Amino acid sequence: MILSVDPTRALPVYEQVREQIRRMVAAGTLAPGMRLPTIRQLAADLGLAKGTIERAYELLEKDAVIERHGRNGTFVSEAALLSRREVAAGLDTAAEQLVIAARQLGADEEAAVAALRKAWRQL
Amino acid sequence: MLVAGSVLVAARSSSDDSGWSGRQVSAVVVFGGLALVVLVLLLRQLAGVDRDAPGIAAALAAEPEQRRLLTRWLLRARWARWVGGFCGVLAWLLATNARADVLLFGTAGIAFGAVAAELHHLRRARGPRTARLEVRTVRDYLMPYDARQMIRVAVVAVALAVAAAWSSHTRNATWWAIAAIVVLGLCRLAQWRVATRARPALSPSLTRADDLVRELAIGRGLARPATFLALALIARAGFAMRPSVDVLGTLIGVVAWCYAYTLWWHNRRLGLDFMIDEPRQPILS
Repeated sequence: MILSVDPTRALPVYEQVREQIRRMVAAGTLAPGMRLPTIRQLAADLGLAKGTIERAYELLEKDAVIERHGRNGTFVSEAALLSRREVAAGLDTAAEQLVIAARQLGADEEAAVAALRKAWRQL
Repeated sequence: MLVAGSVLVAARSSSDDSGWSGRQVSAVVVFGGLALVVLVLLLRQLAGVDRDAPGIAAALAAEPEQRRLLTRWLLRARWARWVGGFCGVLAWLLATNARADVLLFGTAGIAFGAVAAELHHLRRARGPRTARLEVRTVRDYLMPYDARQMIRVAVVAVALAVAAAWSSHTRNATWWAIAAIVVLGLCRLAQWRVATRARPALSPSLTRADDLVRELAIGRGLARPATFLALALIARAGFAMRPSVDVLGTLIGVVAWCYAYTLWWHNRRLGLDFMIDEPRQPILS
């Protein structure tokens, strides 16, 4: 499962991390009981300060999305899954954003789909 | 170099102090010749010439991007170990006038070089960043063989430290054994650092290559040099126990020393050169 953050966006980075993990748990792509990386490792992988990930994990714990067991690690907790309709709606929103960005860049449909396929293979 | 150094020490210790014997002169000639070869090899290494690295990478991985990653790591790791070992033997020559244990200095240099090769990190990207939500631990990368070796050596070191602490005559042995434990502890720390080193989201093919690099770095790169350095220290501890237990101390020292030499010999240049000689299916195909 891939996380992506952009420090140049207006939304705080810890909120970006929190929102993506919450979405993956709700969609079922992060299964209950799955172990998450340590704060130090995730901060290093994303090139962020440890405090940023710490804050995201704290908020996720408060939302009951994850459970922290001290030195044993951080785990995904049981959560209400999104319905198929909600997942499809999320995909539609992401697709709309891609189309808008492609049109702003002057790319046609073929180029946008090719870029999507390339990113899909690479990640 | 380690072998040549040992020949020189043996020759020196076998002759009296009155002058240079024929054996000593021949040892110096052999050592001088080997030192010259080593100097040429060092200059080649400094020039970035390691013709074997691409061959080993080709034997490890099939895809060009994987080979590039592995070649870069092999060049860095082999060069750092080589320079470390060279500096260790140089320190042995200059600081001790070739009278101390060359194995100890050489292996310490290699171990320092091995750690230095892994002390690098990625620069932070300015724009969007990606990472996989994956847990990476030392256990994921450390082969059972290397883990067992480290545990066995650590157990022997602890036992020696405790046994040597009973007598005031063998206090030095305790310190040598503690040094061996410290080396293994520092190695574990370096392994943890390699396992959790930053990794952005890569393609599956590059992720597999990066996993292989981490496995090689944690096992052949760090665990084995630390093990043979710890064994060299245990050998010193064994010899330092002779005032109390002469035969047993000597036995421990000789066995640990021979084992350290054997390990070093099999792991020289990361112990991967055999992959060039024996054509095989790449590990990452």
